[in-house]
Amino acid sequence: MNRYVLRALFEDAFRQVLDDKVFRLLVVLAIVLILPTFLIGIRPEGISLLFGWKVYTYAEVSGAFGQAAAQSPDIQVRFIQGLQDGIVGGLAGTVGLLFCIAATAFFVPRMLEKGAADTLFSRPVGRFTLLLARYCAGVLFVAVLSFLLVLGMHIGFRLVSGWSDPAFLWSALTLTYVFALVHSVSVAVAVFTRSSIAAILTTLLFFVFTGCVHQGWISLEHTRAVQAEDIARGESEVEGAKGFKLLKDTLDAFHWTLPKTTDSDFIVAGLRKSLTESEPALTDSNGLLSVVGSPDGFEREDASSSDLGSNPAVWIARDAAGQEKARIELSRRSRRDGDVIDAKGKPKLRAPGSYSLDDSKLLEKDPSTRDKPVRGSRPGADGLPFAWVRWRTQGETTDVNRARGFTGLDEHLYVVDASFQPHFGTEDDRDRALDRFLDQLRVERKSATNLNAQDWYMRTFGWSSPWRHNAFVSIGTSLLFAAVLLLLARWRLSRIDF
Amino acid sequence: MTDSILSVRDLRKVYRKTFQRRGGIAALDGISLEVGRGTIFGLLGPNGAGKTTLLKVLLDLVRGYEGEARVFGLAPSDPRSRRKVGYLPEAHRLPGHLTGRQLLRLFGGLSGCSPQDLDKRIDPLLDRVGMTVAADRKVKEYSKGMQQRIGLAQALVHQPELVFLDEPTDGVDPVGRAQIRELVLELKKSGVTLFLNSHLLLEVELMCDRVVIMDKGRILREGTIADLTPSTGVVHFEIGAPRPDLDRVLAGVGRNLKVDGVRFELGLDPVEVDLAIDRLRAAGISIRAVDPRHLNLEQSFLGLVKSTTAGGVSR
Repeated sequence: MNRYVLRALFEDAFRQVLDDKVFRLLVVLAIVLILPTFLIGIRPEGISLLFGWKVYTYAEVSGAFGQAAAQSPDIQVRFIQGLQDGIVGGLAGTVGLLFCIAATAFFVPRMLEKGAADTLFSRPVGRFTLLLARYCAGVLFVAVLSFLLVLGMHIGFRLVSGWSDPAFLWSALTLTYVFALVHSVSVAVAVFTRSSIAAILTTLLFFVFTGCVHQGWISLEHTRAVQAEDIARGESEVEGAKGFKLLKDTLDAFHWTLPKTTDSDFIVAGLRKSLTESEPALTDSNGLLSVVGSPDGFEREDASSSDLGSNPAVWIARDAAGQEKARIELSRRSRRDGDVIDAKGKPKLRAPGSYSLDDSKLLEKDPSTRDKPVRGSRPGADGLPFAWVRWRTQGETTDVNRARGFTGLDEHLYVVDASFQPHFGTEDDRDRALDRFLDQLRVERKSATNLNAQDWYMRTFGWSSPWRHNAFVSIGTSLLFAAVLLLLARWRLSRIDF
Repeated sequence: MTDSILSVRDLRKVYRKTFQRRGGIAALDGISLEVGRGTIFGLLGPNGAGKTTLLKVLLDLVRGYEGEARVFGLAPSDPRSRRKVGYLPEAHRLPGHLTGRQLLRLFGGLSGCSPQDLDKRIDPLLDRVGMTVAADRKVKEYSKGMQQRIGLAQALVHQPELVFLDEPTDGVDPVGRAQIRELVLELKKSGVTLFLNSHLLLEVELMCDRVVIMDKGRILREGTIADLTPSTGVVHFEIGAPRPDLDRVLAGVGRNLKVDGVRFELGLDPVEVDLAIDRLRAAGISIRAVDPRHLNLEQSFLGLVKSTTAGGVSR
């Protein structure tokens, strides 16, 4: 095959895509989604409409939706990332891909129709080459749309909002990658049935099915990891119930056979994380937690030790006169400090909530406690759930607002202890300071016990992970699936009499 | 035959369903033929005779046949065998998203032509098929006749040496048909071999050098137009003025005299023609025309097909 043939095939694929009405509709929709990124600026100080014509603070925006004031040091970044994830990962990654599946499913059946096939296949080009050209036309269809949407949004955010995650650009590639996997199903079904309807329905079902299989498998793997951690801690000796072995084996078989379409989200998330997150300022040397940096307005005191078990880390906020107005301490201790003994004769691990309960009972009895302590839970960064107790206590001169949060990471209990002087600010200011601090926390180990399945898989999955959770293996087996389907299509195509 | 461009030997093709192992429909049943360079080869036969299957086997559109087929000395499964082959299928569907010009660039490119060569060829070709004005309109907007013309152009864009035309004038108006006939004859003059499959027997008679008549997957007869249109033994005469005494003048010469004014026809053996002319001249009759009558291709074709249907095959 010479280069003129390749050029002709490429030009034809491009023209076929451009002539497609659904493609043009999707281009318009992509522009509709891109346009707001040029008209609305998501700035650190708030949301700016039409280049500063009107600016709303984040508190105003949150209030308009009946939400508590959202404040975080990186709220701009979070807001933009949320929009990018929602539009590209959510909208384009699901509804958009469904549209694209429907729009490209007729490419191959139309080529194989009598009359059309005669003209095309009588040329000195192999049948499989022509089939691959149609497959590539479909992939090109999505690639153009994905790059338009992602690049357009990226430029819009960069120019008008002043920030956009460079790793966001990978989303275009992963959208195209996912479609390339799914499109191989469409092409194979089209060759076997020569029906657009059959290709569309089968591919849509496959897309949903493979997503469900992969999510199910992640949950299964998470459960296995939790059980393995239990065994390692001596809390369990058997690896779960055997009743569902057939179901688990079936799920495993499906997972390893089918393309792992949802892994693309984890690949992008991993890339974004590696590009946007810096080295932590503090890593607990004998534990599992790290602290990315100091929250706004706070500075760490005595950063010489990194063992939170022996020396709590302390962050202090001072006023203009150098007087302390708030203090946050982070420490670690063992969760096996209860009276309940497990089968191994060791004290059982305690839930973080039990510490906040004990604390609140003790505080209630403490005469220096002003009001009844309030308990609650608060989601921390990185999927860590914190059990909190808040109270007001009598200080040297005035009352001090206190808050203490507990979270468990395997054997460890991490305690955040905060105290706020009255001149620090309102309750909202205190909440904001705590949120900003919790935002800085990162779990350093892939502990399944303390993470939900998605967060655990996010941490476990990667380029250098063991083979079961390795990105190369995921991509390799997925591409293998697509290659096998295309080879099946080739086999069938070679036997068709036109 | 010397300088053969295409040959098939004992070609058989049975269409079977996917999991069918036996039976099926025999589309080709032992076809053997050879086509020389620079000829126009006509393929005739009723529907289902196997004409299109034969073309498709030669173009690798139909596989799983038995016997041997060679195009430019190569098996049809070898894509190189189609480098110098053009094909206009019957009831073709060309990519509607392309303009006529883009279509020719696509098919030219697929045949390995460079863009520079195509730049030089496309405009004259569009002109030859009468599509210059509509060249930049989308194919899906073309009428049936226009699609046929652009289809013919795509078959010729890479300057093939062998062209298969399956019903090339289908849907084309009489002026267009004449243009296509003219183009086919021009191609023949330039040394191109044409394989013409048409139901229009007059067209085949006017254009083809050799003709194959097929039915039920077999060749019933192959030969030149003259071979396939033998003399009927009837000679048609036209004379200067009506003569009521013609039966007397021609007494003892020929059979079945039929007179119609200045024209008459007479059954004559070839050796009797001179005698009849001598008699007429001796009687002072002015002879304007003498026309020995032959079977036309349609009569020959129908006769052959009917005889096959009745049970016999003449070769």
